[in-house]
Amino acid sequence: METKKSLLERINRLAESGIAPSGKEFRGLSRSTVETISSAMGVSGRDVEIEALEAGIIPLRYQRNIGSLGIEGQLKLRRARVAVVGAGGLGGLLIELLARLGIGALVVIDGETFTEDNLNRQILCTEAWIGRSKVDAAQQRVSLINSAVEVEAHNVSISRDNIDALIKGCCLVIDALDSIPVRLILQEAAARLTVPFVHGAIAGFVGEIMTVCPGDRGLAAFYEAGQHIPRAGIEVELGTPSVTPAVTAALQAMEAVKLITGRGELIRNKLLYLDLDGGRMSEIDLARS
Amino acid sequence: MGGRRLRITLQTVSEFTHYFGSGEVALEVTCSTVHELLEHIKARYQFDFAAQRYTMLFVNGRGCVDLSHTLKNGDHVAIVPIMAAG
Repeated sequence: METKKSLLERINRLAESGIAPSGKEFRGLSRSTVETISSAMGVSGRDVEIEALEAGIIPLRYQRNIGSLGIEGQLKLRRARVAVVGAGGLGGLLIELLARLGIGALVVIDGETFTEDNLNRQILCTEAWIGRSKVDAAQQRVSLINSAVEVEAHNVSISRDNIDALIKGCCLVIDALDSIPVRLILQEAAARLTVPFVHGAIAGFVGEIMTVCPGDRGLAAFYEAGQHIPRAGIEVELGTPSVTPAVTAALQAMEAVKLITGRGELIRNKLLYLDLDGGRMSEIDLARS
Repeated sequence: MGGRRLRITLQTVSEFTHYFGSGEVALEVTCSTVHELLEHIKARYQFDFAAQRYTMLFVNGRGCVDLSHTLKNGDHVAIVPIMAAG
């Protein structure tokens, strides 16, 4: 309690006045000030930013989020802990977007290292990182763009044996996997832990997205009981150019924003298809029972 | 081919729409089963579902692999690509 009071006093003392592009006045906290307070008081940058937002003071890095999210929305993002399962094409972009949005903590899970054929689309993959761990790259990238985001990195592949422990404590789980059977494992785990699951998949110039809330059938609507579940899809023929994960991941990140802040309309009980060739989006309504 | 006269809504996405001229077409077909519908589609639109390697069929929002499934008037059938990359 005393620390919280002291923290708030220091934040209030060091906050600066600013004028937003809209002309509206605001009180803000620079990144360096957040770091100074964090070091001086032995609290995380995330905690400093949360305390500031609760007092109506905007960390400057989020100043361009506030017009759309509001301080309350930004605060919800700062408090959230989100699992991104897969740090490849979709996952790397999701991690970038969610870190810049100001998600409080990211649990990043991926057991792979970068290969040369990742360079066409995986934002975390640079030539220097070929052969190195994807989650290590994720951790480094987030530290460079938003050091106030906590990253818990797991250099493992998920299975029924480990997934519950890996995603425990997360308010939602985002699918950035590359296998249909493993996606079903992840969706089942999200259902057990009663958290939403944001599905995404890509192939060629087509992407698909769906948010599965607890109780929804989600991917189970695709496959009848006992049916052979394919591991892969048409991406084995079409590949995965960069534009497709970019658009798909952006929509998945927006689903996360909607789930955490309560805004907007979820892509729920339907599959949204993105046809980049045709510049169209289509919806397939899914059976609810 | 046996069957009744049914109104079926056929929805397709991405490159599949090129066969049908639109992402959603209203069909009036004489058929009873999914298989018969696909045969009609093959004859009329030159779209051979069986020849597609990574394609999924939904009937009324539920994945369907049993082509002997009986269709009803007003059913919604969707043909979509299977994709798994991330």
